[in-house]
Amino acid sequence: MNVLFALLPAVIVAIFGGLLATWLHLANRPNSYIEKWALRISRFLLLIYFVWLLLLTLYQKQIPFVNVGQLTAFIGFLIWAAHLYVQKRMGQGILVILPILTVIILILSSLALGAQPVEIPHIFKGRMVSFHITFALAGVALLLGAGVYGLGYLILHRQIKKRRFGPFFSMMPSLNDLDRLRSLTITSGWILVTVGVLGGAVWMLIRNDLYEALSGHLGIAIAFWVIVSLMTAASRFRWLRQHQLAGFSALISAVMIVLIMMSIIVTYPGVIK
Amino acid sequence: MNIEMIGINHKTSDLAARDKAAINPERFSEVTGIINGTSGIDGSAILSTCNRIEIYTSPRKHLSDSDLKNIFGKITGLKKIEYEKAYVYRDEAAVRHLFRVASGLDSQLLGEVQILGQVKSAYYSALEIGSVTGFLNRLFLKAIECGKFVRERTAVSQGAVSVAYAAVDLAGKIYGNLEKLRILIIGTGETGRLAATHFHGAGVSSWKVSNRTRERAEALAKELGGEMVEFPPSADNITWADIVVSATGAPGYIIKADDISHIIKKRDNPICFLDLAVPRDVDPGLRDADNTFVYSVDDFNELVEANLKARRKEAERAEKLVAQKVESFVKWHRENRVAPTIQQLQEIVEGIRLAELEKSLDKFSESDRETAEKLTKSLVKKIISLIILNMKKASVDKDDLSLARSVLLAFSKEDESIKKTLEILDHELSHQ
Repeated sequence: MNVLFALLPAVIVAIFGGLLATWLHLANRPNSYIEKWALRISRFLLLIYFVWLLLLTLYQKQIPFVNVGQLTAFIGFLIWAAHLYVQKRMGQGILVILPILTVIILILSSLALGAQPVEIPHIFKGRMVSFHITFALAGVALLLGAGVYGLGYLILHRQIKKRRFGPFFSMMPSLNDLDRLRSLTITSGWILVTVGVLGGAVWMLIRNDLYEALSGHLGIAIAFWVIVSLMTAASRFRWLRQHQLAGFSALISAVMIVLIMMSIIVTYPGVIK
Repeated sequence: MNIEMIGINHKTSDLAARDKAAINPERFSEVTGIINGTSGIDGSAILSTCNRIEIYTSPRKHLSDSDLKNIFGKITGLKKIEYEKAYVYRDEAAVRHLFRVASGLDSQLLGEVQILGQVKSAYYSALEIGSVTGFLNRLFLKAIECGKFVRERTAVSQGAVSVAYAAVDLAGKIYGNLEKLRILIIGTGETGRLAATHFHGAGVSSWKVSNRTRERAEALAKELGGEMVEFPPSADNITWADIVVSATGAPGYIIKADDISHIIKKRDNPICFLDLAVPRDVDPGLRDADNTFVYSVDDFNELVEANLKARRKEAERAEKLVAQKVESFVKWHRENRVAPTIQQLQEIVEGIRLAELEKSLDKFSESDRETAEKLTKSLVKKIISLIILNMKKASVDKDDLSLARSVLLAFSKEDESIKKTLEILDHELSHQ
């Protein structure tokens, strides 16, 4: 028990801490050799993180999202997986620090809130709910990434315009690469969210007894999907210019965080007493 | 350590002297013949670039500075007053110098990358001619390794340090991959051509060229595989490009905000004006325009200065890495020079062991023979190990070969190979 709920997450946080320190060092003193090793350790971390969640799943016979402590750990894993998915296609320079920091905060929150399983609430029983939550959250993780790249774009755009050629300028990917990263994460995120929403619809059909209990979540989810679809279409069909799309993505990410918080509040029992 | 080098560079000699002294690869064979023909030199390598002409030799005995300078003068055709300025380094100092050169720390443009390729070429040329001794071989390989190591572990070669290259660097920061971009070059003077060369090197393949003298524009357009357009370029030609590089000597603005702002507004992708002219060619009014980036020479100078500052900071770290690599090379050399002594000592002692064992073999039973074999082997190994350890320690830590010499003398018989090893040790000792 202690290994699963304290030791393993503590080890993971410690390695993430080491990785964060390494990247902060690299921001000041670039070193391609250390960078290569940092990337290898990143992949290794994903493996350990996966093993931890797998053990949790086997232990409670459900994917770990049955309480808020588990949910934060699960979102952290999906953010890290999304980060590595993007990293494999394109380098992100100093932006790597953001997902590391986010994951550390999420795992620490998980430790503070407690990931120990309670009796699985009746709304979280069944395979369809796992399908819906996994895909929706994986999509959210990618869309959060799009927000980060959008924000990165805005900052770098401003620095280039204002001729501020400092360390941030040299460690960031190019504006065009940031735009491509944003576009990649939005498209991939939207696909996953849509699959998640469809999964949710099937779940509702199977478990129509839950309709009333989840009506709040349903409203938020539909609003969220419409906004994300609009953003994806704007990005895909170039309705807006690069820096406008970047700003839009950053804004949507901020809204998305609020919506997720609201969704957790209305869905998870015991969050608001 | 048998290595010495002589050379001139941008610090000791002006461009005229360097031009005169430059050794073309076609002359390498002839020059190497002259150097290696000098009594006592076993091998050599030539490093000749626009900023330095250096000759590395592997002599059996060190030559005097004046002898080396005379040879250098003969090879390069420099006057005495010119070749007297040449610097000479020997042994560890020569190793350090080559390692610093390969790492770009001795370059005019700190951290430049080309020098590593030039050191490699010098090595391959010497290999091809067959003038590389075992020691020179390892020296150059380790220098190349050091150059790569320093660039991998530090940022000493990062960031553009010339205005023309800074323009390419900045464009790269905006567009990422430059290959699919369209470029308009306005002005085909030295700066314009240099920027075009850098962009061409970065993979740009879609060009338009505009210049007051039509023929020059046509010539550059042909060279780049692009199209010549009128001067001054029309608004359509300007906004056709993703990047506009302007470097004319015109007294007023060639690109005016009022003429093109309305067209730029219709573009999806950003447009970047790299104004390398003094006075400026691009109306600064465009700086505030949406989707437009405008940079002047002052901006590039600022970027270059920031990069140079960063490189200078990194150079301190790079020097420490070079010092480590030199130390490791010197350690290898000092260990390696007692290797023949160790080998001969092992052969002599093993000979004695076998002879003594042979004499007493009849006195042992079959099973005791095996024990005696093991016992004598272990005994000899333990004694020799101690001697070897102390010889290596003296050589590496104190640069002292007298123990190795004494050991060899103590065991010596009338043997040609031992005499030869003693000669080498005596030679090394004479340098201590």
